[in-house]
Amino acid sequence: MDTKRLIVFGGIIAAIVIGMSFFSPKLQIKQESIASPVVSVSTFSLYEVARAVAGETLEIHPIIPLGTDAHMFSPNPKQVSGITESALFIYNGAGFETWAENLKQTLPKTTQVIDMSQKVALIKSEGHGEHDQGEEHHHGMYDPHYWLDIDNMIKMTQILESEFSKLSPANAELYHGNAAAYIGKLQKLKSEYTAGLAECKNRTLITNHDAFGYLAKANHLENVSVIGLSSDEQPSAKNIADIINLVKEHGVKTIFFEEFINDNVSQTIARETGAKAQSLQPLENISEDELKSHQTYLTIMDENLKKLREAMECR
Amino acid sequence: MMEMLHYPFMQRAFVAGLMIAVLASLSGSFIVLRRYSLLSETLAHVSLVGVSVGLLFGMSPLWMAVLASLVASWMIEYLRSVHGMYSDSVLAIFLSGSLALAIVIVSLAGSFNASLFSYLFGSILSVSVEDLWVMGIFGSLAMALLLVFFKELYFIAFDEDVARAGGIRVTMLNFMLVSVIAIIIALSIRVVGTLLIGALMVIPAVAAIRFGMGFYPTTLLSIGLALISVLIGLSASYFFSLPSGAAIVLCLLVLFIIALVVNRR
Repeated sequence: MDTKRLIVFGGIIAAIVIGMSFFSPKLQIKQESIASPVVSVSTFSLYEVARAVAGETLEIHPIIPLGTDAHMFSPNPKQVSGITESALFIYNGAGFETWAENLKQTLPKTTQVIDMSQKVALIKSEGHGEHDQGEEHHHGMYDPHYWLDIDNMIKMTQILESEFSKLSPANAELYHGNAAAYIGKLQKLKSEYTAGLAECKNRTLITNHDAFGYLAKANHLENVSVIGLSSDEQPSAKNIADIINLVKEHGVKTIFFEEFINDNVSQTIARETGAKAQSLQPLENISEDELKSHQTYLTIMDENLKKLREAMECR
Repeated sequence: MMEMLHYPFMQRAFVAGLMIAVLASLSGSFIVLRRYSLLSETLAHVSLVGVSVGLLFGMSPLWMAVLASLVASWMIEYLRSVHGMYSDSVLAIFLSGSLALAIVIVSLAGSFNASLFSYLFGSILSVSVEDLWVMGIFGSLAMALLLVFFKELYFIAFDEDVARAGGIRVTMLNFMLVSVIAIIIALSIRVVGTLLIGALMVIPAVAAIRFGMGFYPTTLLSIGLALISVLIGLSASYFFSLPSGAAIVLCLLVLFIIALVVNRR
């Protein structure tokens, strides 16, 4: 009796396994020699810079899919195998992708790894419960949203130019030209920010997620965030009360919230104070709509500037 | 089918997954029989406290998880056996209490808590060779303890009082069992994550019990089911681009449902 059931059970499992192996998609491992080396990049900003520098000469694979919250991402086997097969793997670092910190130790020697946060100017995270000075270094000491400082984007462009030139020396001249052109555009954007935010009625920037520290610092804005650096953190009640008082005191007209994530808290503050809630794109990732309408780092930063100027009543 | 094994990261994932499957399902048989199933869930959340302390002070999250899980398992067993509290209420207190503690510690750090997130769902795809050694060594120790005291643990699982009357050192063995389980859980949250390890401990045993066999064959079957789930789950995760930990648990669930249907009465 028992054995009969066991046999039936085993039979069903075997049937499922066999069925699965029939229906499992045939993954083609790209054995045919690809002319251009593959470069895997984790975040949207790295993807933008890499594409601007490399043009069509390298295959740039974005790891974090478009339209998802980059904080919540964790790679599946296909994505990991994609990384192990690329010549260069570039990630944001500073604790932004925990999965990458674990993964990089297990990658084959054929994959060179770059932690971009090691090469740009970082600011310390100013989360609640700030650290005393002289505390040990560990994850999360620095704010990882450094791409919102345009100077860092320029730095990243220069670094990728030299890395790509090492990877494909024949194209070094092309990379040099592309990088110079992109840096020109970034510098134009930077001067637009400087000019656009020079004279404003109000310099307090309130956001629901502490992603805009670099942007605030570069443009001398006072940045107040409702919650911490990670988008899935919860604010404390006192935090919200403090911010409501701040909004009333400074006469802040607009509270910003980040796309992709729950904006309940910003909406609450907006309701309590009569301020407007407006979205601001921190460029951790791009949404599918933005991709379809061919938005880039440059166009979205332009859009952000418009919203900021309106909110702070800049001349 | 075999090309996924060309990747060293998949080989390591399979080895880690199979090790955890054997350990979790073997120890799971005992806690299921004792209506102590939520112990695994609770200790997994306690491990999270260890992880967050590790992240806060820059110490190894893994070892802090082992420590937290061990201490909590002793406290739980103490409250249950010495103070005679109901095991489910003790577990409920520890489960939500430890999660609250972990959240507060992480927010104290004022740091980027995405680090904690990777421990919720595990990262079997980035297991390193060193991780495998740690798991192998501690796993064999845990396994050896369970096998040496298999008969005694089996008696206790069925009737604590009778076992005590029969001269078995019940209290000592109970503490040993929860310690072993604490270590197994802390080691495996890297692989399947806090939210899913409970399933790997409990579901194989519950499914195997449906066949109404003796304790030994049931335990063997439950280990077999756990192994099959890891194999199918990881393969499915590879071929259909699914999150690995969740794919393994869903496989367990499917096996459980089939076991239910085959044994319907």
